[in-house]
Amino acid sequence: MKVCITAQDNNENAQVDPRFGRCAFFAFYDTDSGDYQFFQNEAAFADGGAGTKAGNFIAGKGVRVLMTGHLGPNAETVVNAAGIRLITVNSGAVKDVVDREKAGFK
Amino acid sequence: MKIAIASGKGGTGKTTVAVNLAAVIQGSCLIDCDVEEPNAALYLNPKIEEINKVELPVPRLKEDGCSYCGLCARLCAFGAISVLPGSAAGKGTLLVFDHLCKSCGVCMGLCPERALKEELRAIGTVETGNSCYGTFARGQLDIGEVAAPALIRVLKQKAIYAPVTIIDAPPGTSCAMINTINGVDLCVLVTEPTPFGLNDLKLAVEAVRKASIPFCVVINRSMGDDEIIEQYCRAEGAEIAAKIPFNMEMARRSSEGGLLCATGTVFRDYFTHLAEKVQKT
Repeated sequence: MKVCITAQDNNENAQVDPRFGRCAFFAFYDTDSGDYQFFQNEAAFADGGAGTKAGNFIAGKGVRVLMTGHLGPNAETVVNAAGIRLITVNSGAVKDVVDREKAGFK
Repeated sequence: MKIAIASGKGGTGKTTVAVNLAAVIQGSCLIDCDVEEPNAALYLNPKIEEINKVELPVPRLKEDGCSYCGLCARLCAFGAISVLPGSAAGKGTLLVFDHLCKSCGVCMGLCPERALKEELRAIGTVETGNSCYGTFARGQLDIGEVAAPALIRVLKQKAIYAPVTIIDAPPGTSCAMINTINGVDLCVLVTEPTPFGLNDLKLAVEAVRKASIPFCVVINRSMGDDEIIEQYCRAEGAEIAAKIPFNMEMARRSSEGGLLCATGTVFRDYFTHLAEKVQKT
């Protein structure tokens, strides 16, 4: 299963980015292999619609759990419609918050 | 001749200058493009003769045909569409975020299944009429709507222009202001002698220069020492077309909905002089 964590940089020691639509990177954690993959958020500097664009991106990648700080109303609509479960995290390193929440991913 | 009364900063006196200019120029036209809070009518008391609803086309899914391929969502530059592919369990989902849609039509035009149709969505009204000073038009964006530029473009088409048309612009230098000043012959930038006034005047000057529109500056609420604005205007070669003093009587008149030019010769002169100047430009 794929878990997405919004991150300020492209490695697992990076801090969680509390913003969703305008986060710097998406960290994808694979619960089966324990591997991380990082994607730059192309919507970060969009004039508008950053939330829906980011939501489209993670939904398209088949993410099932999203860990981030705050979702705007449009992003929330997309994330809910895609059936992605939300875990609110505002700070901490990516790998630390993953380790902490791991038990609840299933 | 079309003259836009603009400013970077809100509350500098755009409407005050616009309505008083329109009132001292016989047979003028006033267009209130501040569609999020149009208030020129409070001063000019126009009789509205026609009200037109303004609608924008937004995409809607036809009853069938959509393969949920997601092309429309990827093409939409504004993030106004989300497509969630279907699974074995059921059909996909297509979401349209109306407020993000700019009605460009790309999604409907390029859908390989032709599965999207156009639906009209009301965003506000355009009203036209007459005041005792000339023709009048204003736009009113519905509460909660954001498509000010689209409404302003319709308003500028529907207005009945006069030899001199005064356009009251929205504050700021964003799309609404740019759509308002597009095509005018002159911008009058109203500012006040404060650091905020100067900061936002600089932004407005940058915007009108990019649009290649001639401009002049009006200093409102002048308290004698306007060096902060004058120094900038000297350095930029910008003309200061008028200074309107900070005056208790004028403030009172304005807050009662009265026209300053109807209050007395002294006040009237500020605007007749400005009217002469801007018409010569």
